Amino acid sequence: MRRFLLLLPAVLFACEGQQATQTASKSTSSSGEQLAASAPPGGGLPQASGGAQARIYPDVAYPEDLEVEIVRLAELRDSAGLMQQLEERLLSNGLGNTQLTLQGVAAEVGQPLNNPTPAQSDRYLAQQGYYIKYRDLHLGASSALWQNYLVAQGAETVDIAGIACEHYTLTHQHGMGDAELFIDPASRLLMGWTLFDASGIATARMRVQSVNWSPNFGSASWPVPFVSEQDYAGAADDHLLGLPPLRPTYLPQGYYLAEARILFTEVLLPGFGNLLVERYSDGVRQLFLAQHERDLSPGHQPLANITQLRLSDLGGLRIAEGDPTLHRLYVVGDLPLSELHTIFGGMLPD
Amino acid sequence: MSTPSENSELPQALVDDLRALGGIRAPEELWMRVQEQRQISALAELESSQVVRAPEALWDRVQAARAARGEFAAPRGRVLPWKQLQILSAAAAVLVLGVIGFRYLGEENHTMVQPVLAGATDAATKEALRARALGMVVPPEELSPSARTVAQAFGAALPLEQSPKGMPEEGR
Repeated sequence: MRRFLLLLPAVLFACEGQQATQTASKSTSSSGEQLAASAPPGGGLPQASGGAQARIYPDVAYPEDLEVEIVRLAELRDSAGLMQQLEERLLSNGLGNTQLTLQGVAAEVGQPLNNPTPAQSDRYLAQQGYYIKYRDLHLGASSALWQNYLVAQGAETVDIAGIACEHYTLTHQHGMGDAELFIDPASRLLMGWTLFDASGIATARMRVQSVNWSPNFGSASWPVPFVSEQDYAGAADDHLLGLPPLRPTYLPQGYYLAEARILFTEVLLPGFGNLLVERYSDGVRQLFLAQHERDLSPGHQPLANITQLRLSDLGGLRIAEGDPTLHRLYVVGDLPLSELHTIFGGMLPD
Repeated sequence: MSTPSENSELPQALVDDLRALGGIRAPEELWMRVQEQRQISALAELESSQVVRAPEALWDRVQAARAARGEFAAPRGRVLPWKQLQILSAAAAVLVLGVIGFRYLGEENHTMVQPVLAGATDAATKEALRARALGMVVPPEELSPSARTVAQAFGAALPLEQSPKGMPEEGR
């Protein structure tokens, strides 16, 4: 036994060594990412498959990380299947301050842009930070990206806002929907992106229309969030939510937990409770699990039954909403409704 | 059981044939083979009988003597039989797995902010999970205002009608 006790630290050390090796491998992968990402463009399309294929992680900069002013056109598919057009102006000082305003709205592609209604402008004013952070496309972990997508750079550039942009295609390995990116080779700014559903129909699209690298911040009024937020650190933070959150026991293949945040909504909306938002990613697409303590005060009736949930297709996104136990739970993503239903059910107690 | 004397007696016809060979000697190889066969038979008989073990004290003395000659380091303490070593090895494996498992369980508390790749689930399990909640497909208008606002914050199309109120707004 004494021999075993002497061996035990060695075994654990070996485990640590294995983890260190894995960490080293990750570092190597990161280096590989940089090498692949910094490879000169125009080198031809990588092969779509095959063990010798170089893995590409596009070197991309997001506008909120740069000092820039851009005007862009967002197109989002609505519940009627129409592509709603939203002309936006994004101003960023590169130091974490951003301002996103809505300049024009069209119910469908091809229609002229109209001035937004006050309600639409107010909504942008209120939720601009979420649009930039959650709605806009951001690439996730390289491991998930490469697990779920074949990434290839097109041999031809694509002109966007007068800039010959690199074109990357992200083909989903299991046909769940592809994506494409357009990147300015000089600044690495993400100039455009498109998300497609499994049938190949675009569900969301963004194209930069103009870029100003010398923006005037004199008239800028940086928004201050109504709702503060912080990382969710696990059980130690459950008291901030009022009750332990429901945990997912099922997630679709290829998604990983990218972020968990607590939004302190209770201060703003008494009875609502603080909101826990867990963001999962498959490298490109996102899945959100949001939950808060149910408002049980008079006048706030729960949904008819604790085992009921409402499923709805909002166009590009779908949602499942329900009141299991003392929680209100939302599952949001572009997955099929049956998948959202499965995720929801997996969060309920047996 | 036949006796050696009985086995040594050969049939008379064979004896006559051998005597008819006169002064011819049998090859030397024949004798060597007979000797080998007798040794093999003796070893087999020894193995089939019970082996008397040497006293433990004698083994200890032999080990000590070999160690003194520098052949190898003398083991400290008692040398455990193989079965006990197997039991201890199994216990060690359980303990190691337990410690490693505990380490990962400990990390599980922190996975809220750690990327964790999801695993696959079979169709029957997914169906069972769906059966825990009765799903109703409804048009977006029948969602709660908070659900619509959450969906819009995450990227759903902007409602062209009057915006509902009642959910976290990032604001300014």
